[in-house]
Amino acid sequence: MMKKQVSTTTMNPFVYFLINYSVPIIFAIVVAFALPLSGLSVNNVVRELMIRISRNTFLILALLIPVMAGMGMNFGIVLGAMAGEISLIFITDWHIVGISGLLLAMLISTPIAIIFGYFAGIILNRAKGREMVTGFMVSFFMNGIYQVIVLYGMGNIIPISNPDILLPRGYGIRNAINLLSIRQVLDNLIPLKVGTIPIPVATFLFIIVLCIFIVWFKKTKLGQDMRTVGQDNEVARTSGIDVEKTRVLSIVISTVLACYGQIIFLQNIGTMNTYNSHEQVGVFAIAALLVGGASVTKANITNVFIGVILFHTMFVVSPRAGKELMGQAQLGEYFRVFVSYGVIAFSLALYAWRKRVERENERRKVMDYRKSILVKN
Amino acid sequence: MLKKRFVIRIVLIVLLVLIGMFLYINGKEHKVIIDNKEIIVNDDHYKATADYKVWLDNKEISLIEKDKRIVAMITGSNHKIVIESIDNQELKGEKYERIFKLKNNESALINIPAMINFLDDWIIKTS
Amino acid sequence: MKEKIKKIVEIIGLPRIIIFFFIGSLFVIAPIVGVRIDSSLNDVIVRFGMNGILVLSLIPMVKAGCGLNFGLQLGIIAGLVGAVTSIELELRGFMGFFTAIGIAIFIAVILGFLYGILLNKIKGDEMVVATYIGFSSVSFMCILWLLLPYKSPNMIWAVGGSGLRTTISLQGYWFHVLTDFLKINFGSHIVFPTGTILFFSLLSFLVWAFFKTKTGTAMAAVGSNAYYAKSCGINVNKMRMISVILSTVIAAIGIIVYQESFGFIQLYLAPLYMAFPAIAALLLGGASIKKASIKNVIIGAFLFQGILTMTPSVMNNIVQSDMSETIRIIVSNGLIVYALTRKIERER
Repeated sequence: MMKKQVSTTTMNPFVYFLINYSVPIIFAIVVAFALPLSGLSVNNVVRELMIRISRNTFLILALLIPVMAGMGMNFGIVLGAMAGEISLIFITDWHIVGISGLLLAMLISTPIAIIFGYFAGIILNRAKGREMVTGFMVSFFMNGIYQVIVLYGMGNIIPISNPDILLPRGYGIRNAINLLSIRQVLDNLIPLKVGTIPIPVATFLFIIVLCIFIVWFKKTKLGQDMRTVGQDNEVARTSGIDVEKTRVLSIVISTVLACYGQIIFLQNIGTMNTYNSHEQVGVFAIAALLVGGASVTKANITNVFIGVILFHTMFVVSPRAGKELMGQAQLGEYFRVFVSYGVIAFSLALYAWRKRVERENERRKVMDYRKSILVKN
Repeated sequence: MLKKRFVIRIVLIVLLVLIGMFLYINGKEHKVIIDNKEIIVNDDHYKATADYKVWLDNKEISLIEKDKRIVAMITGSNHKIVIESIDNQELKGEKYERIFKLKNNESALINIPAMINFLDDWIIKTS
Repeated sequence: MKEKIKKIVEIIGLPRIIIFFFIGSLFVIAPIVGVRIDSSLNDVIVRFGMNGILVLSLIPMVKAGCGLNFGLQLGIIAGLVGAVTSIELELRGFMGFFTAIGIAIFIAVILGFLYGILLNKIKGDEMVVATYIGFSSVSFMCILWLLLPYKSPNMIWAVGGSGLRTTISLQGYWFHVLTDFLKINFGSHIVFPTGTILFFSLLSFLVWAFFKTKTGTAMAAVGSNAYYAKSCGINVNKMRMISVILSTVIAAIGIIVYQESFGFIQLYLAPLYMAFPAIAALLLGGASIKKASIKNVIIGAFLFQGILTMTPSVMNNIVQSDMSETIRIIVSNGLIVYALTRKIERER
């Protein structure tokens, strides 16, 4: 009994395209529906989008390098976000303001992010094949460590002199810290307005610099090594590449970039939810990247931009659309969360299914070849 | 070969530390309190005689009337304070200017009568 | 001598030993800082009963080779719907309790079936996808909780008139029906929850008995070596499907027992992370991604609840502050990370 073969490589290329990019396509359709439904003017949407793109893109770009090295979607960017937040607590305590404050935060968060990234990288190396689940659990675990540092250590072992940010009991940082001191310093550094829409030029410059860095990095020896490691560990090893070190390095770089990304994110918002700001960072960034058409093994800058635009348009549009459709704005909120998780689940399932199908086909091809040889003899 | 890498790394770290210190000093916010009140120095009384408009680091802060106090936050270590007398919303031309430096964690208390009388105690710095 | 100690440590597992000593020392410190041992012990036993069935639900899927059920939330959702419906029907006492279970089982079978179809298509990568399926279904249910046509005034938002509340009290319905069933009082501070423990033992026995049946052994065969099982004529997909449905059903029952003991039904985002403590408990009991037994469930649930109960109360008295939530996060997630990073025999 011959089972019908499903081979992705011999399929009609149009169907192949549809399946490969099913996530962004479905997403684009949903957004196209929801946009008019929400009743928001184009001007409004574009303005919101401009802000959201400027503050989220850096974080999503941080995800690209681990994918190159075969580590999958790096949930460890949450650790980078935590490092950034710790440094922001310090500069707020020391009353360092303006662009100096922002740059100083980036400076002192770098060693913290490197340590966190190194830690995450080592753990992920010991869980080869299960990097994504492990990364996910590590981010939860580190949240506990972060709480120990920020909720118990600060004010106690770590000297904090500003009573405004401490809890009433004398130690531990408050739930929300206002970052007025650095609010939008980067965004407003080079002011520009197109019509009524303000454009945060400096922030975009940062993003462009990062894009250039990533493109340049791919061409360096380290970058090439990472791609080799990402494609095949064994081949890389025999070529003399230190696979373990390369993988850890990819996570460290990603963590540091995520740390800067979170600082950029928070300077735009102007307030820091000490214990919640980093929670959804991983999920939303990864969902956005996947919406942009990336997969666990392949992600590029185009995916980032398509993803951030589509994903955040959905974000802007859904509360209103939910209200119009069902009469409850709350629905839109839950819808956002559902879509973020759902997109990841769907993309991962699709990827896993395709991986299995390709493996089956490989095996079948080998068996058929062997059979044909037997028959010939 | 290894030595060269090592030296480069040390230089880089020192550079970063220096940049960090520069950013720290440059970005640190200091509190400045300005009093237009009577000050007593060595049994001499200096009264507040007029209202003034205050500029700190070339930025207009506010008016300070007789016997009043204003508080302002400034960033960095080198500062300039300029005051000009004002009467009924009109600037009267009496200008006074001083330069001062603030170190780490210092805040300043400036007294206007002392300033216009060229006393040394026109500014008091506290940690 | 040293070799022998090393061997014992390896068998029992380093984390378990550490945690055992940790708990032991906590019990020693407890009376010194003013925490009663007997009431703490009682708390541990009660919480063990509350959570045990959820941990038990993980066994069928691990045995069938589907990995740790990070999609536990699906079973929990079935249980929540059952519980909420039973209150809507104004059923009380054991009637309400068992109706909730009945409805929950029905829904759990359907959800488990769909879940099973999906898992069968992605053999080998179940855990990651399951996590996100669990999350998306919980968030999807949030939308449904707002829209479903439930009318009971005990469950609806007072203002607005429609949509379920976040927390629904079970007082007056079936709060503690099981826990107080045949309860035994030891002095003023200990109330032994006989009902819950009996129920847990019953279910554990059923699971154990199931794995001695033909279907059960077939399932275990699939878990240890799928190709060998296939060559013996076992339908691998069917076995995995049954294991998923079984796990989901037991989880549905588990959450109802949990609520019965806790006293509240928690909707919306509360079940989001509920899979993790259960998985951590199972791993603590000595299970791995590929191997789990009822012994692991009992030891693991007991130790885990022991830490969760003892650490906060002792720590709070020493440090004078509430670190329980943070400790819970570090311990349960740390355990899972540890289990995920252990080098296991690669099965191809």
